[in-house]
Formats: sequence, C-alpha cells, structure tokens
Amino acid sequence: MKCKICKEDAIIYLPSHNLALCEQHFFDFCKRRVQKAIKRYNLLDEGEKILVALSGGKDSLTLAYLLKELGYKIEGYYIDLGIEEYSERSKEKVLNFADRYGIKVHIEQVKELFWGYSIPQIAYITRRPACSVCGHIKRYLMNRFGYENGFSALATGHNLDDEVGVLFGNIINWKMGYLGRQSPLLPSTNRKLLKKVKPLVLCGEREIAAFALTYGIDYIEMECPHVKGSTYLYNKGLINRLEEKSPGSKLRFYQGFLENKHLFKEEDVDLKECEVCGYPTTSRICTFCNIRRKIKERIKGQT
Amino acid sequence: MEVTFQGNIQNLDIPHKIKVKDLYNKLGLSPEEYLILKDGKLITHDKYLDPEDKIRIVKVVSGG
Ligand SMILES: [Zn+2]
Ligand SMILES: [Zn+2]
Repeated sequence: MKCKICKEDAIIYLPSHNLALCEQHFFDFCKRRVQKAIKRYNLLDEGEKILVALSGGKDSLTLAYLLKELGYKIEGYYIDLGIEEYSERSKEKVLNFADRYGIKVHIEQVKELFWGYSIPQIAYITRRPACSVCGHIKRYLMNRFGYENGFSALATGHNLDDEVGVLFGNIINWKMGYLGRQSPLLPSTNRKLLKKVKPLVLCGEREIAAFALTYGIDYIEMECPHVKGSTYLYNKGLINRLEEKSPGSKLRFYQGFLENKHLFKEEDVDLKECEVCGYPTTSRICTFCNIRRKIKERIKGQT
Repeated sequence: MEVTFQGNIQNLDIPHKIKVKDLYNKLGLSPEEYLILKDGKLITHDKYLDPEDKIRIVKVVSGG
C-alpha cells in the first residue's frame, strides 16, 4: 500500500478516511485532526495557559505532544492515585515523557490529601464505586490546581472512541441531561471553574495508538485494574464491530450528534459555593469535601 | 514467529509466509482494536510476514 500523498510506502491505512499514509504524512494528518477540532469547536485560543491532564496512557501523552507541536502553551498535571503498580508505572511514564519533551509537569498525590488513604481504600470506606470516587477526586483536584495557578483551560485526552462509547450509552438509556452536556467544549460557568476541552475528539483510538508507537511516545499499556468488565467497554466492542462493517460510522455518529445538539437542552444548574472549600457545587457541601469528611470520621472512629 | 504482546513473548507456529490481514483473521484480532508492528514499525494489512519475523501486537482500546 502506498501513501496517497507521496506514493512512498504506507505505514497505516485509515478505513474511515479511505486513506493510506506514510510516516511523515500520517504525522501531518494527526496534527491537522487536532487543529481541526480546536478550530471547529472553538476549544482554545492561542497564547492561553493550558493544563493538560496526564495519565501516562497513549491519549493524554499524545495530546500533550500534539498541543506542544501546534505551538500551544501547555503544562502537564498528574495525580498519583495510589493504585499500586499501575500508579507507579504510569507516573514513571509521565515523568520520562515530560523530561524528554521539556514539558513542565505538576504532581499531586491522593494519599497526601487523604491522610494516607488510596483510591481503592477511599472507595471502600465511602461505599462508592472506585471509578466514581476517582473521577470526582480527579476532576476536583485538576480544576482546583488549574484555578489556583492561573490556567484558563483544562485539556483531557478523551478520543473519538471514548466520546462515541459515552454517547451510545447515553442514548441507549436516554440520559437527556447527559446528552445536553456532552461536548468537546465545556465553557467556564463560574470564575472558579476552568474551561474543559477535548482536542482529540476527531482522532480515533487506533490512530492515537499508531501515532504514539510510530513517533516514540512511550506510554503505559497497562489498564487501571478497576476498569475491566464495564458496560462501557462492551459498548466500545459493539461499536468496533459496526465500524469494521461500515467504516466512518463512529465519526458520522459523533459529528451528527454535535450538529444536532440543540435537540438536547442543556439543563441549567444552579451553582453555589461549597460551605467547606468554597468551590462551585450543586449541593451545600461538594462531593470532594463529603468524601474527605467520611474519611475523617473513619479515622476518628479508629482512635 | 516471535510475538510480543503486553510485554510477554510467545512463539506462534506460522510455517509459511502470511499476509498481515490473514494473521489478524487467524488470531481473531479486530483491526479496529489491535495494531501489528514488525521491527518496531507499523505494517499495513496487504504486506507479508515471514515465519522468522519478530512482531509486536498492541491493543489500542482503553477504559477511558
Ligand atoms: Zn506520504
Ligand atoms: Zn468542597
């Protein structure tokens, strides 16, 4: 197979674009896809200070790499979740990446903020699913760090497959509120809330992995041990069967949704300031502070 | 054929040269979910692999 642009030997064929590309032109292609998402969905302004959430996986590292390549002003942010081997290895990948590409990275540790408790322990004590606790804590900490350090945008590595998987789940269950909110751009609705952007939404998971492997971005292949067996992963499998039969389905499904987003009204949420920490929340005390309170009670009960 | 998958090396009994596309089918791998590299480089599905080749298989699906 030859590159459609230069006729050199192709390294990858992209069925959804009916496009075979060589190493050089695949690089340009990925860069353009990110630039296209940023422009089309109005995600970022040049010169704005962007905090990139780094997990050590292919998506977040590729995102940081491409944003830097496109000339955006980025710094990285990593949360050590305290999930044993997974956290140790992912942290190492992030630090090596940051060092190699000259990206400043900030690290916060869950154990330091929760009196020595890790995500699995916090999940157990608060009787919440680990992924839900983890999601809440990550979102809260990233936002707080970004706000306190003068960032205006928080970029995450959600890719086309992630967004399509979530969209599919939300439609199957007709989660109208979630459908109204699902977007590559969540504008800041409060001075203490950073704008959230997903510049990889037009890039498929396969393309991102291919990019990382081809250009030497060393990422953690290991999955977080808590994720396996979810409906979400099952849905991703179903969607991949569809994509194989009918290439381009994912892109059509997702882009069509964004074009018709007005059909799903965004619910107005009434934001108050958390009575404990002062960050915006819909209830009296935010979830983060509630989790902390439960952990504190547990510690008191033990002594 | 020497196959590396998630850090483990396995030997695959491939007596003759095989088209990459046919290797996907033989191993039951979805082309959307797995990438195959030969000598560290991606390889398109129309190419052939020799029994002596060293390849790496990478799963691309993540839990989000
Ligand atoms: Zn080319
Ligand atoms: Zn709070």
